[in-house]
Amino acid sequence: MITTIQIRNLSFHYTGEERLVLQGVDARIGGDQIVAVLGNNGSGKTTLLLMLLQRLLPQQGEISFLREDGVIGTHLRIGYLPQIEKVPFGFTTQEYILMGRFPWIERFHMPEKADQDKVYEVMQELDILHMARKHLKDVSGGELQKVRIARMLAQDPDLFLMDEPANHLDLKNRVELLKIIKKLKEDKKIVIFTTHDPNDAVEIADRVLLMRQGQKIAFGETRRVLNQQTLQETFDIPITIRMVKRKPYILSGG
Amino acid sequence: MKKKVFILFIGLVLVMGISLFVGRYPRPFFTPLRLVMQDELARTLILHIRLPRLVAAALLGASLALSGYIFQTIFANPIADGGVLGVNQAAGFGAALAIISSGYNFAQVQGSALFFGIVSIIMVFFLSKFIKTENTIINQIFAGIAISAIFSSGIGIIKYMADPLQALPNIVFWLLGDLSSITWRRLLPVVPQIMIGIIILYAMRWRVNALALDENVAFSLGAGKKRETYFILIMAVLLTASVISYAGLVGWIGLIIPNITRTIFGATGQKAIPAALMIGAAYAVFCDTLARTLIPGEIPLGIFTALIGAVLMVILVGSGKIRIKD
Repeated sequence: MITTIQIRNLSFHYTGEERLVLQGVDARIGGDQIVAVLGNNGSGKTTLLLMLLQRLLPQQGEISFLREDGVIGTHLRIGYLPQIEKVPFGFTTQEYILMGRFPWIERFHMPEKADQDKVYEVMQELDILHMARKHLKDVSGGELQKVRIARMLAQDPDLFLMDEPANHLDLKNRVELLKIIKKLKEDKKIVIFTTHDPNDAVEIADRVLLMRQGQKIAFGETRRVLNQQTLQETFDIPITIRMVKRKPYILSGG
Repeated sequence: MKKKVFILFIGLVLVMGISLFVGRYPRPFFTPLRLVMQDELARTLILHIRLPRLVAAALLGASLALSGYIFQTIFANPIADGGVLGVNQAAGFGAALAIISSGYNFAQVQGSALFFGIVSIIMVFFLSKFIKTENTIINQIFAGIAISAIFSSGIGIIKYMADPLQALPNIVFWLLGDLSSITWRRLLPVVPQIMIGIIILYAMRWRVNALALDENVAFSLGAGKKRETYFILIMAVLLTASVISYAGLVGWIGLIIPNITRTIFGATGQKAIPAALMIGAAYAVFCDTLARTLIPGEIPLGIFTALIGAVLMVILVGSGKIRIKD
């Protein structure tokens, strides 16, 4: 069981490009934590997620997954929700969500009843059972977002990497999503998600990582780290923080 | 679901069974079993001419449909198949090259067809990345057109240079795409390769779904590794090249059958692969039966598969069952 993710001095640039997409990012993420990564477009959020996925390897620094006893662990199921993805043609939503079960099915084996049951369960949880037979290309943006989240839930990974999971979701579904993420934490999962909206972070994140142009502005406990100064530095605009029902509410503008 | 596949299987057996008793001898069209039992020549004809031809047609249809499904899934393109991507022409070029240089050595014809088939699929990969319109499907089709043209002109050159008495007729047979000269001796050497390709892809019918996923998503699911993708792609090329090496250029099956399968059974490999194998086999047997019975002479199989295929394609695209968009 992996309980800590240690990111040390992480730097990355794409081949053929001078610009560093990530520059010396450090963070230590404990188990059963929800971490929000905040930053403007181009701040390196997606690159960081791809590196946590081990899809991209760092040119400098390292990411280690540590077990409880501090030893480096290797066995970690990672789920990834890209911000944009190429969805396959001809597949129904249910068939697509079933593909989340890939890591659980051995080569030359077929999905079994347990896999189908898991798909049914997550579709019920996300209230998308009624579109089970609809084709992926026929559902709306918000529906597709829920289907993609369902695919990730069906995978049942230990670490959830979600790139802008609230994209395309209406207010109701956004609240539902935040609830689902909170529930993942109760199940001892680690969730790292990116967002443009610091209020999502206030709502559910235990830790936040603020990033600007590939550099870490701050990392730490949500309420301690999110203040006017760090947020203005992160988003490069004037920020106002109001207290609403004893929770900070972050607004753009002076 | 199981029921649909079962019905399909019964349908295939029926088509194949009927096809055996349909022909021009001892009388045009259908010959009842009773008559066949009385006529020794008819029995020989069925066992040594119609049966190998039937098996050849079934394997051809199954192989082309399956490889078409794989190409369409990997390239995320419902109108990809060996013909569109240029694999058929390349394999045809390879076979023609072997025919003029080796006479009709079967292993060489096949090896050469496979080699050029693989070369062409690699070319499609790189060329479609090189062409940068906004639509990946258009990029692939462009690449396919270019590659087809290259290998078609190659075939043209070979025809021009070929010995008009010996090699040329062999090559011309091939380009038409037909099964009229199939015998057990000619068919049996290809059967192992085809069976290997079909069995492996059938066994991987769940895994191939990962080919349709976004690369990063597939990666996170521990699937869709490059090596596995290439392996599956090579199996599909192997099937296409093996069929082409004995039947010549028979088009449209790989294009149309996977699309029909998808509209009935859905796109997932566990359902689509068994269905594509059976529908493909039945379709090819049906077309070949028409090809050898409709008139006293012989109409090349490729003409029927293309004619019926094109009509079906227009219907499917027109009714919105095939949607060509990114």
